[in-house]
Amino acid sequence: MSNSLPDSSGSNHLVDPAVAGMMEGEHTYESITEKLTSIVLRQDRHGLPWWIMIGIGFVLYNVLFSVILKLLFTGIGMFGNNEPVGWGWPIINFVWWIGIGHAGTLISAFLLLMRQNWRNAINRFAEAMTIFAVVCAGIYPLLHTGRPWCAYWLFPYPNILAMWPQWRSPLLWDVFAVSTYASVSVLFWFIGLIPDFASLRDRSENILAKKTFACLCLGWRGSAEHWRRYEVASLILAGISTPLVLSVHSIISFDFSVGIVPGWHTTISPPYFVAGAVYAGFAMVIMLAVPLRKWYHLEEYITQKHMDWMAKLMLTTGLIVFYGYLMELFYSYLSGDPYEIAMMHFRQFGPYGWAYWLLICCNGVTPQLLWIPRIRRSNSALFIISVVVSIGMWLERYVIVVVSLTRDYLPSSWGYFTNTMWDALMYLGTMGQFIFLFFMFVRVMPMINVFEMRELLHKFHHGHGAHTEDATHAVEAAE
Amino acid sequence: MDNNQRFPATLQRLGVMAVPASVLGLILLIFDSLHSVQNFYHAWTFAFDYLMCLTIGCFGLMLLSNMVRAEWCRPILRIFEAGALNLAFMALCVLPIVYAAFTRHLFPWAHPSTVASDPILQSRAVWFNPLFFTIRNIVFFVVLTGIAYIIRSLALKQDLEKNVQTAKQIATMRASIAAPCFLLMVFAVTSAATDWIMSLDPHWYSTIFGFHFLIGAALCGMSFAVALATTMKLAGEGEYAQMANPKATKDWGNLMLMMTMVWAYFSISQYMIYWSGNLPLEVTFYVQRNVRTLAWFTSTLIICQFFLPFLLLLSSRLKRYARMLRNTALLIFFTRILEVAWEVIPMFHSWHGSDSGFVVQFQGGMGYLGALLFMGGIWMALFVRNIKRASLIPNLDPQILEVMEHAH
Amino acid sequence: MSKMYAMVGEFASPEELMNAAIAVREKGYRKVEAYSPIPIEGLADVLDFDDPRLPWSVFIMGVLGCATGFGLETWTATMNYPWNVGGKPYFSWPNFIPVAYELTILFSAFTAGLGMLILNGLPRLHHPIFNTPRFERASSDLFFLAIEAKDGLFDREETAQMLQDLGAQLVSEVEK
Repeated sequence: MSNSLPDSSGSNHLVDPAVAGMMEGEHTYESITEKLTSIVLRQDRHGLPWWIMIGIGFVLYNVLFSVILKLLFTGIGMFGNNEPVGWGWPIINFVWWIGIGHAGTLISAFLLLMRQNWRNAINRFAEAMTIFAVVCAGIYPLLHTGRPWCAYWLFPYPNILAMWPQWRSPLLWDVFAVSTYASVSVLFWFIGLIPDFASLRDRSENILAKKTFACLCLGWRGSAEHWRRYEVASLILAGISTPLVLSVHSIISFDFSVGIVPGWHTTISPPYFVAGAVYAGFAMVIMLAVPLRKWYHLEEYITQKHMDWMAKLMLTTGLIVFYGYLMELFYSYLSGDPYEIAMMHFRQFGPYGWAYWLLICCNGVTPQLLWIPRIRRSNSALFIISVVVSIGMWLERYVIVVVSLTRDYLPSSWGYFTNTMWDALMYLGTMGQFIFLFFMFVRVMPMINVFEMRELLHKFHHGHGAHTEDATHAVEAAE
Repeated sequence: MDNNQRFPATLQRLGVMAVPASVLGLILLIFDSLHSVQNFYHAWTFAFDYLMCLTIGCFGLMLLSNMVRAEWCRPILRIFEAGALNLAFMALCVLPIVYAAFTRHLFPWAHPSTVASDPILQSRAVWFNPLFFTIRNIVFFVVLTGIAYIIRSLALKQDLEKNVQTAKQIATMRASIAAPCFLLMVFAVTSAATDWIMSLDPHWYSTIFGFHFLIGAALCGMSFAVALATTMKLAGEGEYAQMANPKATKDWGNLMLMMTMVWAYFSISQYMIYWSGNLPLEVTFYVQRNVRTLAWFTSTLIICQFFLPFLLLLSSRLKRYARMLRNTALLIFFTRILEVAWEVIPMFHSWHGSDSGFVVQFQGGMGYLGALLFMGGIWMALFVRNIKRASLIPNLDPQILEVMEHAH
Repeated sequence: MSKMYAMVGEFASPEELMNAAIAVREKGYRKVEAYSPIPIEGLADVLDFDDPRLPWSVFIMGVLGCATGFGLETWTATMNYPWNVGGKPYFSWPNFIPVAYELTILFSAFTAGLGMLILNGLPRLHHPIFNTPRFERASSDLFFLAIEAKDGLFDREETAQMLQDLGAQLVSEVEK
């Protein structure tokens, strides 16, 4: 048979195209383990950049605490929220942060299902990014309730008033979606860390570190039985997390689209919100990956091919978002509904028109540069485009929240929105929180999945899926 | 080895059976059209929309296969290509519909007295007018058919290319052409589906409509290809006996599972947003489809298009056995007909405002069946002819090329 | 004899471990366990390990989660405290989907994660295999094959010799 696959199990020096370009340089299992765990175990791997980042993060984190302290005494009146814009920056920032988290879950879950080996190098820190982004996001609705100490009212529990939550409200769906998302993300992340904790346990010389990692790895010993269940569980978790990501941002889009406010009530919004979230998330992953690989000399693991893939995915999701913008425009004008048309007109040419056109430039036009391979190969260009996209995605939420709320059906409920200093400070504060938590994570946990990199090396040398072929032939024979 | 070279009997049979089916369909269609010419237009539109779904599905998946260059594409790429080439045939089928834009038989926006009394239709006239409609259809078919032929000819060229380096270049070229074409297709199909289906209703609109049509098309094309490939595998025909191995069927099954879930996701999103909003302009779409007999029809659709295939495809055992996978693919493929019927046919009656129209119409539904058999029969015959023109399995795909290159 | 846990052979590569595992199984040993720093495709099959409990429990718990969510919503909204909101029916099933869906995911995800740990017998404070010399490298670059003393065919000399013949770079007796 001239056109059948060459037998990959026979020739050891064959590089499988499925893993080509995903690791550079010469490695052994030992060198990978050593290099990646040393970031955690050896102080001298963290230089000045780490201290600078943690310093910035620490200062801004304290800004966040101060704002929260003031908020608890003053109430949310200190923000720019007003009538009719009851949802100001807190909701914008909530949606922005939670959207950023989605790329992390998608990298670790969806790409695992698709058997994309290039995810192995970036999934760990992307998952960490997810969790910290969700933490930043969660703060907003919690404080926006005004009385965060009563937040447990949101959950269904038998109480003396015999009241239950209002199941028809998308805000309640948010409670379930975001809390499920946060807990499943932490679980997925922790499960992924167990074998690496075992590596750290076996390598650390400091007794305290050894004990800590020994507890964290739960006694992992890497037997074939362990690994089999582990892989089954990872696949199932991936299969569950992918629809979870879709559902979380869809439900956030329902916050808007289930209501009948013009500009919100549109059916494209679930997929378009999801794509926007992943888009912003990939931008954030790139923004983190570019400095990390430079500072920690990880270019061999996070290769240019990884950057290329992420850039392509960013472009793809960006195009879906752009499609969403165009559909909103197209169908609004096509609908013949006077409110929809007025709304669209207001969005483009009203007092917030600058935000709309800026977001089209940031989200729609700029990423088109990513069609050019040379730009995808330049890290600084990728970094700049990612910053622009992040700004664009923030503006998108700004346009959605503010523009629609200031122009409702009735002229009596029209208004104008300006933010206060506290809005901005709190936003900066959550950024500080994110930076602080993220670089603390880099310090104490392996930011690249060590065992999956070893696995990648294994696939590199010995042809991907050689054993599976045997297994599938056996199944076929049995059939 | 000789057995491998022969053209698969399954496809041969499909091509032969298509001819009497289309003759029978033509008789039914003519018989039904004698009652009223409107019946003809309705039946024709329904059949056209369904086959367009299938053709676009093949077309989109062909582009996708060229982009992702994954292993699962290889055994079914020729099926997608042959289906996509039928765009030329669909360009002929669209003619009565374009003609209908100039008569008052099909589209409410083409009906002067309806438009005169309806401000919404008047404001839509910028987009929905016979001339612009015709131009859009011409552009759509010229561009998409052109793309289909270009991609196909590149693939054939690559097949015959002996030099590995040149073949690799062609493969890269295919990929870089396919990506922007895919983007173009998404926009083109959104506009076309709005024209052919959404504009049958005078007022209703939904911004997710393009995506919803596309995922339906993808399901249609994928289940068609999988059903064919697994049938050929079961009959031990050609290279399919080896190519459709458990590894490939698992990928196909997973893809269908994913598409089924996305279909459900789009459907339920649209439903939930419209149900909660409860605005008259929008919710009518579901109200029309939720009365009397139609409610049963809707439930059947939900079960057969989502719950059944979803639960079936969840099982990893099912995806390993060609027979079960084929049955699931067939279930999806035929349920697609029901869904297009569910979506399109009540549109004809929303204009006249009678909610029982669907049932009445379906009792005299011979025309619908006839049009489907007629158009579908010719489609299948042409499909088999297209597939005969090249080797059943593409010879050299980039994946293989790369492996070979590293081996040398 | 009672203090003996297993005879453990140390191998340098996944292929050697795989071949050794196949050979050991062919010899008829049953109480065999392999330890590796990476998951090795097919190794569990060679050792005849098959446990369908995890996927099934995930599925069942998923269904249960869905039922919990939908049941809770239906019961509270139609029976326990019916409450008219915006003229929507008490039984607003389309709006009950999101919560039921999230609970399906929550239940099944935690079943998958925690179920994996429980079925693997984790967390566990100690295990005799950790007494193996150089086992700390089982999480980095060494591969181990343990033949437990409980196995019917187990014989100190013979088993050790066999592991040696299979290419083990180090064979050690491991005590409980």
